Amino acid sequence: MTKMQAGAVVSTLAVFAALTVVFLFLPLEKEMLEAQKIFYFHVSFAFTMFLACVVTAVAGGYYLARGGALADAVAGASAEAAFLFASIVLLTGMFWARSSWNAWWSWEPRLTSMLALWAIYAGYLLFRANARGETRRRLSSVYGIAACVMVPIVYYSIKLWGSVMHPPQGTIFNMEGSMQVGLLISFAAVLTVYASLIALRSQIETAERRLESLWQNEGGR
Amino acid sequence: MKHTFAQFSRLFYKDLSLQWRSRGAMAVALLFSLTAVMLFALVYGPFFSPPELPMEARRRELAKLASSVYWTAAAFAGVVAVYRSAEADREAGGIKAVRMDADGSVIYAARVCALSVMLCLTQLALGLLTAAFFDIAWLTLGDVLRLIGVGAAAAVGLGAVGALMGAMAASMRGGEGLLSAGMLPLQLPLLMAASKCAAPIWASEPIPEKMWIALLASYALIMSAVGLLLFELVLED
Repeated sequence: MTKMQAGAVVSTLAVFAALTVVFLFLPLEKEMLEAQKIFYFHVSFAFTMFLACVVTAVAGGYYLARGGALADAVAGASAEAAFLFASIVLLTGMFWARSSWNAWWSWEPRLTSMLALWAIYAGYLLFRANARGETRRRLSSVYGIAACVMVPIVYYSIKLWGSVMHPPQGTIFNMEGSMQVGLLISFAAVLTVYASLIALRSQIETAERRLESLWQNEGGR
Repeated sequence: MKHTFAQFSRLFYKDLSLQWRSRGAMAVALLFSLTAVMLFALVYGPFFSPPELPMEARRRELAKLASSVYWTAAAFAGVVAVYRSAEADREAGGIKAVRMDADGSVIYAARVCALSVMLCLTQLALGLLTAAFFDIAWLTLGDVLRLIGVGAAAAVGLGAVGALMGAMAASMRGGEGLLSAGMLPLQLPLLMAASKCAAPIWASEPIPEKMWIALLASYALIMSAVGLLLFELVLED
């Protein structure tokens, strides 16, 4: 079994364990019933998405300062994960909104800023997909750093504009003990998924780069 | 310092002349704005607004609509201006030529200033169109000054993102086609803040949520700083 396959197995098991704990062992919330279970994954994906955005910017900054194929590969892979997780956060948020507020969407600060962040990373992926070689690595690193400016805006949006729909920061520290455990387990599971995705995509990027340099050495024939 | 300022002035003049020469492209933006303003005005606007609506409520609704249409058109004008600048860089190798005797940050600062001036001029024309077509006749001198302040801050922010993204697009094959996809999302927070700040001003009311002013100013500043720091790296071959 390769390291990559081992990583995929570990992350699959972790997600399975988190789903089991959340759906079979954690008590039902009195008002929202089963729909409340979305919370564990919604919040976990949101935190991991923030981490992915920061990793994209840091790896991009490292690439610009010192170069290195791995830094660029990690930045690109992390941006893809950020986009994927942002999509999941938006979707799970919409399901939550439907069951909780009886509306699929509301233009409240967290949702609106989150949508803007999603669009920014969509722009990143479009830019990255359409450039080649060193230009692609350099420009996407710059874009990744600029895109990260949106992270604190999304994170602090509730504090800055206020919202009746999202709880303020730090609410998770005041939750019931079992809910905290459930959240921790699902967060750990999502983190393993993120780590596996980064490893897998970085390996693909490195392989693509090798192919590109082979192509160049062959004179583009 | 004196040398840097001289370089800045030369580059600013060059970029502004380039923008001015391609003012035909800005006419496209104005035409788009006219279409947007006309459509919105016809559907929601003063011609068919329900007469039973009280004057104050009607004014507020019109101001909201005017602000959103105005900033949609301004965003489009920004894309056109940056597109032209990126196209000129690719066609004539403009940026490579000026790089020979100027630092990346000076080139960037000059470009942001030129773009901002051009965007301010376009916004002025857009503002007149919007006021005329939405029948907004109640603005005081103070309101106009506040609108100019919001417009100028937004123009600097849009210029800061635009100059960076324009140079990035110019260094990619077919990058101009991707310009709006890369640039507009990064400009979204600015456009949102500007339209939220401008809506109450169009209704001649104070801005209730000061956070939007803070977001507008800080995002413009942060993006300018990011651009100043990273522009040199975008220009590298």
